[in-house]
Amino acid sequence: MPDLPDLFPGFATHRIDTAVGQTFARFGGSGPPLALLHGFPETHVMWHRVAPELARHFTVIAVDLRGYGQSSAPRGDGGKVLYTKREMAKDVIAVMRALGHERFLLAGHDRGGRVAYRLALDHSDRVTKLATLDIVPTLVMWENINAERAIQAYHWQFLAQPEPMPETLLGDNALFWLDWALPRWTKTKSLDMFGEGALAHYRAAFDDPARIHAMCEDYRAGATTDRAYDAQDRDAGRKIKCPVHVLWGTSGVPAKGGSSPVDIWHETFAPQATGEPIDGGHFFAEENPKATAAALRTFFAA
Amino acid sequence: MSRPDPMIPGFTLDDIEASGARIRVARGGAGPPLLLLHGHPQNHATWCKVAPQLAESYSVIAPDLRGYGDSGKPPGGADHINYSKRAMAHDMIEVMSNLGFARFAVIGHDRGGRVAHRMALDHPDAISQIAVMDIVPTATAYARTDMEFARRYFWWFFFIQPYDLPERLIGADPEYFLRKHIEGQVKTPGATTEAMFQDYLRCYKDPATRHAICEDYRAAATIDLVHDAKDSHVRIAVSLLALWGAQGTVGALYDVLETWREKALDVRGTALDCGHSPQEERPKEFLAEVSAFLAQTAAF
Repeated sequence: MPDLPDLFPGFATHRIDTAVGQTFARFGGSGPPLALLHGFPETHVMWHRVAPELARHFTVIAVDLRGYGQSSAPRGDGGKVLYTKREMAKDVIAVMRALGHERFLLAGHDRGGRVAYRLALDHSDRVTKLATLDIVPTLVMWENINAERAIQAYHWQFLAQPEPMPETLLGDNALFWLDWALPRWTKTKSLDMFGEGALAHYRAAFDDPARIHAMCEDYRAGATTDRAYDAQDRDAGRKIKCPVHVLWGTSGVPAKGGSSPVDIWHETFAPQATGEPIDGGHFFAEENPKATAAALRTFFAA
Repeated sequence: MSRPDPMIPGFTLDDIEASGARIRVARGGAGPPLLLLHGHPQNHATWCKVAPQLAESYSVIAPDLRGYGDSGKPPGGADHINYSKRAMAHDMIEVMSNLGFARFAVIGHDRGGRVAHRMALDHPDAISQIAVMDIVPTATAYARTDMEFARRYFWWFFFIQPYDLPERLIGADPEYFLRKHIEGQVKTPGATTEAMFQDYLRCYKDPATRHAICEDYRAAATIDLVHDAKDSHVRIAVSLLALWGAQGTVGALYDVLETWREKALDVRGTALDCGHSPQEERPKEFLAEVSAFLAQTAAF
């Protein structure tokens, strides 16, 4: 994607071989290593407004998840294995190892947050601190579904329908859907908020049948295998060992959940979790980068 | 004006002007009046395997609901009011009145069952008996929504997204969507014959039909729930038959009779060995159950 603007000036670009292809990452700054994992329907570009500040304190590695952005998007297996957060987490470990980091700080938003907490559960020796952005565990999302939430987050059910239902419906409508969804999940309902440069990245990545399929597979895995892994870990009493900081947008879905997102993390995988709301919607890292960067820096530097 | 219905042998078609929409009506037979209301994504052709037999004993009236089939498709209006089950039921009261029937039995499948339910609440004097096919009450379904229901019935949450997101997405490939939808719900292969499918498709290809369908579901998630809440203390007094598919979602997720006993005083019914469309999948068993119900509960 040669014509896309460089939103990470001064950062290096890496394409690292992983189990199913290549993983794309931007790399910059200095200090303790910090991996940043984006969510749906975005790419690593979502970090572009916080990366300069974070790079003053940390070595920042912003990764495109498997199936997203400029990383490989292999054909899926109906959500069974390939797009589980367990497998997607292994890509992140491979990237960090290739860049020389066996242990690292980790922050993840949305789907990237799910990859991040799974990585912390499965590989506690690798994660020194974990920040989750605007999520509660996948298992809890599914268990707490009621009519209101099923309407709010209809795409959870929709994208998890068997192939090729969502692929077919989204196919020719990819850009329409992207431009529809992005503003609706912000606090101010603004598409312009994202900036033309970032939107160019998101649109280029989303307008691709292979990536639409990969994203559906991500959600199919979420509805099945990821949920089962979460249930196994909860039943076994398995916890995340490192410090955990929970951030959520004041007008996002977790904020509307009834109980505090921090309480939900306490009750499931992180009794030690701290947390705070950030003024904004689901995309608060872009809506309110100053507060987001400050919260991340404070937590990771402490 | 009447002309033969290509879909139901021996039936004729007319267009009747109701105050809110022009309604396409198939009619046949003679005897006490019996109104048949189809669901989504069908039209009145869904009754083609059972209507001729019913017509031997009843005056059978099988309309296309407003928005569906060849009936008129008014705009949704504020709060989706034009696709409230109240408005859709009112069409049918007017159609039956136009045909000279002040009181009649009604059988409703899927969305048509919801229209029938609302009709029994709004027009209790017009309804002699009611049968609902493979549904639980709308308010019950939303009140009990969980992961299983949200995943199996994802279109309940997808169709109701704001205009025109679902319209655009279904419009990407209406034939694919229609075929997948029917395949997912009808558990008896071939039960929806190719001729029936092609007639459903003919209507589904019309963007106005697809918009009306979304409005029907949007109304169900909003204004219909408001209407239902106001009537939550009311129990339907006439006999109610519930049939459902033993292989489908409704039978798997609910005690169907119990959900209707919360809404009606005299409830009976059973599961048939099929999916969502007993009248297409198990026409003989459907006829046996419906005929027995209509005969046993007929008011003399």
